[in-house]
Amino acid sequence: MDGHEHRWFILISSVVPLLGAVAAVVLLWNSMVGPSDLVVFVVMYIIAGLGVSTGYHRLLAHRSFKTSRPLRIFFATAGAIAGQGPPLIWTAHHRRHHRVADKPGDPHSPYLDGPPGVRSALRGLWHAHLGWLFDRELSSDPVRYCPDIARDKDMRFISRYFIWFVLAGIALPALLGFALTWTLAGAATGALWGGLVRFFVANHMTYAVNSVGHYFGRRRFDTPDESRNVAWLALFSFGEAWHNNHHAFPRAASHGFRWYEVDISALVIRGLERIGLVWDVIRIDPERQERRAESLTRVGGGRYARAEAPIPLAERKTMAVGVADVE
Amino acid sequence: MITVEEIVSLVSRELRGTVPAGMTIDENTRLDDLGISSLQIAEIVFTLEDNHNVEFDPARAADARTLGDLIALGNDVVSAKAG
Repeated sequence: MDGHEHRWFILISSVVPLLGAVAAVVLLWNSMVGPSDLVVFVVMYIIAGLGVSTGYHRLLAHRSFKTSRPLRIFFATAGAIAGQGPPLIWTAHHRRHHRVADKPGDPHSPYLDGPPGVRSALRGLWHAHLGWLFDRELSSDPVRYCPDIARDKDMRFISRYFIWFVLAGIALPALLGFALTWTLAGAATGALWGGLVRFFVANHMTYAVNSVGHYFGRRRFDTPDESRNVAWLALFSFGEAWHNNHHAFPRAASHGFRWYEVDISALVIRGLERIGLVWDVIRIDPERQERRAESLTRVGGGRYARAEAPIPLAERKTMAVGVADVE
Repeated sequence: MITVEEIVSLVSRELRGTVPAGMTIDENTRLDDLGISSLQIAEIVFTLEDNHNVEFDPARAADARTLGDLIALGNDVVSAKAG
């Protein structure tokens, strides 16, 4: 898709699910929601959520584990169904975010230049949440940030025909709704709950990691950014909300570092590893975590802390896995 | 070798025939002037790689400004492979 189409996509995909959510509230009021709608919503929420978390984020953007071609296609497809953008664009923006997190050049930092105060803070949070997607000037070049993903024909295919995957994310719950109820009304409310409402809820969950996850929460590591661990977002973001852990060790397949830090995405990866479907899973042992925490505390963290932006993947001599914990 | 014709046909495919009015596409055409997205440029660069079974230096590909730049860096690796 070209830039113009991408802007329209972002606009439509922000407004239509909002209207869908409003319609859903009206229907709910008149009790037009049945058990089939709930099932469809949950199924689609899990597909889209794992697609973004396990697929786009951990598999593609951070190469936290390896898997077979069919499973890679499956995860990227599920991620596309979430409707947050083509895998190439998503990955490029995200890797850039990690290079310069909360510093100039970060595509979605909530810390904008501006006078201190509540107004600036709210503007920043809005920008990090959704506003950044409307910036016409903003583009992260996939050739520079994710040549490894762009070399993958399947990922290029999904990026090229991305809109069809998003539409499948509405058709699929309609079919599911029909299969569960054998009525057209069931198909329609299925498309509403499993499609539009699900886009709305699931995507705002991801966006909340970008906004809230750099603003409110606890910091275990003094990373040179403002990333936070947000416990109340962890369950429904499939573990993405352990965002400070993630910025300390971007390539770790698990974002939850303690037994009580719920990370469904990590559980899925571990399960798939156990049955041999994924391998080379990147783990960080507790000792290394502790050493990192101590050394970061010595240097001091936050968005004003000095940090050298790692070299983009494209400019590295070797693209071997394990070069550095950057992307 | 990568030819101008090959890259122009890839560009036209991305533009779906809607070439900006009065524009001729050749080596000197700047990527910015074509009005294509970074995603579409990636599609062109890595399709060229596939067609010629080579790997470009992605840092140089990202810095390319004109179609001629892309052809030149592509042909560098194509000829290195042949030689």
